[in-house]
Order: sequence, then structure tokens, then C-alpha cells
Amino acid sequence: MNGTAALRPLYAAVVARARLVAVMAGAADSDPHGWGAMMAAAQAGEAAPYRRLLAELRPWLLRYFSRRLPPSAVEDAVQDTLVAVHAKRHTWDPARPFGPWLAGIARYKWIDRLRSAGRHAADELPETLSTPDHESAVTSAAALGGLMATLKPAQAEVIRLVKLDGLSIEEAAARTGQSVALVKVNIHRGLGRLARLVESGNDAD
Amino acid sequence: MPTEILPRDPLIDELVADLAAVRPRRWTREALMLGGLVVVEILLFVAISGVRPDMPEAMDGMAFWWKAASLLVFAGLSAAAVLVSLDPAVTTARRLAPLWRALALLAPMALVLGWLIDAGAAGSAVLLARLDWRDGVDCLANVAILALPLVAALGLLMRRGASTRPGQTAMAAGLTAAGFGAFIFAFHCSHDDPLYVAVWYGGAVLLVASLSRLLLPRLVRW
Repeated sequence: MNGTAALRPLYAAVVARARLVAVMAGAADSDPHGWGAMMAAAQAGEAAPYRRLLAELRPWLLRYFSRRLPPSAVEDAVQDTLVAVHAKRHTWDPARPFGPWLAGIARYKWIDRLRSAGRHAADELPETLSTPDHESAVTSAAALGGLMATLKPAQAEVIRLVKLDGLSIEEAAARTGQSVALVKVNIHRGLGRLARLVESGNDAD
Repeated sequence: MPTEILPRDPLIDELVADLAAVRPRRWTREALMLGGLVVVEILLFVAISGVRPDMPEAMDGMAFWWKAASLLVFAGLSAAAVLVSLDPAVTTARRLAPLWRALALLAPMALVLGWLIDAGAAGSAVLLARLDWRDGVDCLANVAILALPLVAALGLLMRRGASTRPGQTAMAAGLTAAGFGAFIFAFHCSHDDPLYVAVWYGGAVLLVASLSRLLLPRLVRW
């Protein structure tokens, strides 16, 4: 990675993008990951998009629960949620965005976990429930590297080339072998994903 | 588009293997089902127990309409709350709040209206006679029995749906079932005294709603 200074424009771009996402939440860009399309195919019984969807949901859920539960409970919660998504897949209306539906189920399973944890060991939770300090995590270069690592390699690579190394879209396309359109899409999606990560740090809910 | 190699995961393998085509749930279909059940119950109940003998006169008075319309609106609002709450996305969005508020306002408003009608009617009968507990208990039992198939149907819908607030959904389901049960019974019951209706119909609604609130969440855990 380059130094911290080089990351500042990227951080600014991410924050700007986070604001945009917050403003447009639910309106445009309602299926940023293509999860809705995959789920619609799954409802029709297509296995391949369904496998892809579950594989993509897993890391999202891991992040969701690792911010909210003690580490030992995260894996169970992720599996519970995947099973619930499977059992209740007919309750998603293809005419509506997929994100809120998924978030509703994840939240339900989270509360479920908290309740059962509360029943079994009331004093076990508070120690580990709090999230690590987001302020420093986001601004530090090392953590941004970590955030970048959560992106798909193709997205991380073009963001690094265009936003950090200052290459043009065309140069990045030539360097990576992606088409110009794909570079744009990957930057757009990658920044969107980073923005949601940053943004979800404050979701006290 | 390049195909990415997806990590193998036993749980995901299992879920994918279990995949079958499903029909996305539609609240319209479920509402029609509930409506159909109410109509069937009305027809059956009228065939078995009959309409109240003084139906034509009753339809001239305000009390009958107050009773029937309040119950119908009450049951309809509760039913809407149940159906809407079965979508996990909707319960997080706090879109239900207006429905709950309307329900919370409607019940006391219906009662107050009833007492206003009552005050205008200059009724001076003895309290016990007005309550007519023999008929009252019978009425309460009838409403509860008429509500049972609806509780069962709503329980099935809850099982199929995915409420993230099972307690509230179960409460609304109880109110729906009891509301429709009382509405159906209103065609048979010749008591229009608002005090009687408030006590016995209200008692039946509370009973069914409490039972539903206690039992349904246990049966529909997911």
C-alpha cells in the first residue's frame, strides 16, 4: 500500500459515496449486488444463482454479526440466518428491494441470539458486544487496506489503480484487461460496498 | 462474464440441494383466503343458528350498524396488520406504526360511540338485567368458537410468513379472529345494548387475543 497521504482522496471518495448512498437509500440502485435478481431466479428453482447468492450473503452476514455478537456466537448466527433465508425465501416479494428483507431476517436472528445469550449467561455479553473503534479504523491506512481486502479482487484492483495511483479509466482498463465499462462498474460497486461498510459502522439501531 | 470459483460450504450445499421453486407470497391472496373463510363462517352460522328474528327492525336502528361496522373495521384493520407484519422487510421499517396506532384508537372510540348512543336512548333498566349474563356467556362462547378457525388460519399464515415481531403479529391475529367472530355473531345476536356488547363482545375479544398472544408465537418460531 502507498502511504496514508495517498489514501486521503480515497477516504474522501468513500465518505462522499456513503452520503450519496444514505440519501438515495431504497430509491435508485435498489439491487446493487444483483442479489434481488439472484433470489428471483432462486424462487423459480434455479440452483446456480442461488448458490452464488448464498455464497455472497455469507461474508455479508459474517460482517453483520461480528459487529453485533461475541466472536463465539457469530458463526452460529450466520448459519441460522442462511437457513432462515432458505426457509422463508417465498416471503420476499420480487417487486421490492432485497436488502431490507435480508436485513429484517438478520436483525431478527440477531435479537434471537441476544435473547438466548441473555437467558444462558447474562454477564457474558457486554464485554465483547461493543464494536472496535470505527473512527480510527476507517482513517488508518492499515484498516482501509483491510476494508479493501473485503472487496472482490477485480474491484479492489481498479479502485487502487484509478483512485490511488491516479491512472485514467482507460489506462486501468488496459492494465487489468477489463473493459472500460467494467472498470467503471467495478469502481462504482467497490466504492458502494466500502461506503456501506463505513456507513454501517454507525447503525446503532 | 468470468466465472468465479465459489468456496465450498456444506451448509450452502445442503440448502442448494433442498432448493425447490416457490411462489412468492402475495398479501392479496392471503386476504382473499381470510375473506373467504369469514364468508363461509357467516353462511354456516346463519344456516345453523339463524339470523336474529328482529333483523328488519334492527336494521332500522343505529345500534346494530354501530356494532357490525365497528367490528368489521376493527377486524379488517387487525387483519391488515397481521398480513403486513409477515414480511421481514416491513417490520424493520416501522411502517406498521400507523396501523397499530389506528387500532389502539379505534377500540376505545367504538366504545365511547356506543355509550353516546346509549345515553341518547334514555335506558334506565337495572344493570344486571342489561348485562343478561346467561345470554352473555353464551355470546362470549359463540364468538370464541367462531374465532377459532380464524385463529388457526392466521396461525398457518404466520407459519408460512416471517414476522420479525411474532408477539405483536400474534396479538393482531387474535384481534382479527375475535373481531370477525364477533362480526359474524352480530347477525345472530339480538342484543344491541352497547353496555352488553362492550362487556361480552369485548370480553370475548380480549380472551381470544390473549390466548392467541400466548400460544401462536410458540407455534410459529422460525
